[in-house]
Amino acid sequence: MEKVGDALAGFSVDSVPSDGVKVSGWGFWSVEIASAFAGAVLEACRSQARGATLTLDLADLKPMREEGQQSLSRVLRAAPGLGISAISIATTNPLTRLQLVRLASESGTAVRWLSGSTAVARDA
Amino acid sequence: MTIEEEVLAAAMGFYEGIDDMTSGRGVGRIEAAWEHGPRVTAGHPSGEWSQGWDEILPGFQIFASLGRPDRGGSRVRSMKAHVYGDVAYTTCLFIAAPAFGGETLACTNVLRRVDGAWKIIHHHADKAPAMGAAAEKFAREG
Repeated sequence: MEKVGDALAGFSVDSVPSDGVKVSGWGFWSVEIASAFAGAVLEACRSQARGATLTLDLADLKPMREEGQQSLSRVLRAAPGLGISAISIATTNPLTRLQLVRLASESGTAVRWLSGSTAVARDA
Repeated sequence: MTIEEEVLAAAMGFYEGIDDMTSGRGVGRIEAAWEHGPRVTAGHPSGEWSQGWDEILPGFQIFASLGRPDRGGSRVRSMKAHVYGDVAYTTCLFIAAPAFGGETLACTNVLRRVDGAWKIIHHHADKAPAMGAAAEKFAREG
């Protein structure tokens, strides 16, 4: 598992061949964390077989600044081209959800929305 | 202008900024109304807290991204100001724009006077489910 940031703000990426890519994001992202996000997630997507799924647990993520929005958009737009067959996003913060819904809409990528945490272990 | 009138004018600047935001005119007046520091706080109609200006601004920018000229029209009534030296608070009723559900929210703002200017350091609004539903609809529409 790759982890960027700390307990207050960051993300983790876990890529398991039989279980797809599982991502967790939390806190208020700095520019550095936001900038590292897309590359790390898309690299994990590339390591998967075609048809794999991408699950983003963003239940504890605060609304993002511009850099974070750009990074999320990049993931949503590029993941299908890397063979990802389905993207799911879990949110609880209503403001973050609004931001993500708009980004997903603008990307044109279909997203399955989940309520609450998918229990992707950030410290595992 | 009395001190209470100064506080009311400063708080009203924030609400004029909110109408700018939902009308597609950006967040400039909101930014001008607030102190930009790590100790300012906002309790949103969605039920979330933002701590510090760096977190607060993206919240307003999210709504600004959904703003359009036909989505303005919010109003404020019954605003009162209470001053304690260089700190003051206001209470008011905020009536959301019709496009955002038109709910009436009881709101509190705390302001601080720095270098003669009153700036908002804390904002709290009632929860507004219809506002959230309308915003999500607009976000899905892109």
